[in-house]
Amino acid sequence: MLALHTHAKVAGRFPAYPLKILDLTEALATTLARTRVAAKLPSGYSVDLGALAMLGFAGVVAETAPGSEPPLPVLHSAGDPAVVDTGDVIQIRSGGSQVRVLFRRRSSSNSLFVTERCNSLCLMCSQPPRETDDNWRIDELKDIVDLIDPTVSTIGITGGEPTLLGHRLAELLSHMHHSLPNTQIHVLTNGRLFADRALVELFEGLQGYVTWGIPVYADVPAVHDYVVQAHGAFFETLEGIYNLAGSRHAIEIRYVLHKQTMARIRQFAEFVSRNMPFSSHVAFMGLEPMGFAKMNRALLWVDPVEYVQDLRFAVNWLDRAGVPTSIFNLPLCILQHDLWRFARKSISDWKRMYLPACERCEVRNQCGGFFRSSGSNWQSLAISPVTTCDRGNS
Amino acid sequence: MKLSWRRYLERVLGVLLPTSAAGLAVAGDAAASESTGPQPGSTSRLRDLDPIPFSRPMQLNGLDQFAGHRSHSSHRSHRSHYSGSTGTYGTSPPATPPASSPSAPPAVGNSPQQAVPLDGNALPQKSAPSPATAPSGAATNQGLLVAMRAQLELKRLGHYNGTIDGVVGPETQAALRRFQQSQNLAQSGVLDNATLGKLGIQP
Repeated sequence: MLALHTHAKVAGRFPAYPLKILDLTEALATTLARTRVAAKLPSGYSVDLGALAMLGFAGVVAETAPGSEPPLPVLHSAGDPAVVDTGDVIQIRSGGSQVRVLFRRRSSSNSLFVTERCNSLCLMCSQPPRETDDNWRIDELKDIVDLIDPTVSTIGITGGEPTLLGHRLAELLSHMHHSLPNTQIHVLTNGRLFADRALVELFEGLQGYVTWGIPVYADVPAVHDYVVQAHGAFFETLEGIYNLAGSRHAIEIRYVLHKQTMARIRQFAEFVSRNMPFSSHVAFMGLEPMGFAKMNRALLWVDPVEYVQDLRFAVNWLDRAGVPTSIFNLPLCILQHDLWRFARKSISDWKRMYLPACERCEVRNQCGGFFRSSGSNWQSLAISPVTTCDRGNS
Repeated sequence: MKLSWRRYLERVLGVLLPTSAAGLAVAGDAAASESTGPQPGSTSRLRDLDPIPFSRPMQLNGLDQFAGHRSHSSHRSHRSHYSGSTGTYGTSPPATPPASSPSAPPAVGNSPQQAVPLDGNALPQKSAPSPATAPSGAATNQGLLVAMRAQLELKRLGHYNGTIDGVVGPETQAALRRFQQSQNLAQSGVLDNATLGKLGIQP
């Protein structure tokens, strides 16, 4: 697991805009503008910085400090050198020494954070919202998108509530569609604003490129509205889902498993299979102990073993109804074996960890593990390493 | 379209013997060239018959652009380079800084000819406010770029042990000769197209 920040020393002044890190070999062959590329020097090589400056590179990433004043900015002595890797997109705080990683080539879970604002206030929000004008993010994100490898298979859009950006979100997605045509985009939204058809129309032409991941927490408004802490949210979300589906947008339904939602898992599955059979995917998600979820532990925490039978019913129900279904964020050892094929390694690589008990587990490599943020009071009592004899018993 | 025997023969010969058929195409009737004609500038309609339009490897289409590249006086004086083994710069006192001083942030084109990007390196997004306009892409830089790439590849292959500086000096020339020998090329010590092709460098 790699952090998304590190500290490094800087000689000279780097530009404030996002930069692409490329190995020297790749940097010299790239079609990107070299003003947006920092060349990472291979260790043990002697490289003429003057020549790199001549070529217009934004800077250089090196292991050690330059001997004298370099002809172009040099980032060196990174606290954790692995954080600044080739192919990544980074930003160096102007004047400072902090390096932010905005895109990681070797990660399968890159996402773009578009806004801190939100129109809901979910009990288990892992990213508590903040009322702030962050329209500037879109311009910065477009800069970042230009530097993302076109071969990346999927990128998430997250917030906050992305649709609050309205046409600016459409602008970003169109930009991505143009610059990363082979990538699949996943936008996490509560879908409430799509109750207004006019908003749906802004995203015309992006069908098939974007999947809208929309949480629905129950089959009844009382539970859903309570979980998202907003009156009327349930019906707005349903309206939004139908408006999107009516325009042939792909929709993923997300359901977070906790004390408030577990009572109606079965009814929820039935509700979705009957009323949203067009869903391209339904994801049942274990709780991430972050943000509000930590504060609201008493309201939310339930040992997954308490709902796992209901979950099994719901997953099998949707599967039989022909709706592609997944289980996110739950370790294999607490799921019955017939649910394993639905379990995904969904925890982002930089958030994932395994427990000491996992050492002996034979399916550790297939297992999504645990959130790093989950202390012992967020762990199921049913966690135990899976061994061959266990599997024989089932 | 009416099938002409000459066109038919051209197609068959074009597939079997591209070179000899080229002569035939020149003698071909003018009428056939109207509809399926290739882009202006290409010489023969037989190009249409290539099964897959690969861009041609540069060593086939003449003009050794980089064979003459030796160094750039403008950056020769800047010998501040990383020497990874010691972790310091080998510094020799810089002479009078050239007009395009590398220590200045790469600004908009320093000289008129630099303002015209020849390769695809111009900033894709003109509207982006922050990133400065790319000064790269001028033909001179292209030579520097290719020479540096060649040095890197020669070093990777174990033929070169000098500084990656884009200067085709004696050390690089010797490395090139060693490489050319290993590839059964003429040992010219020059970055000609055949050598670049073998190094896997397509500018």
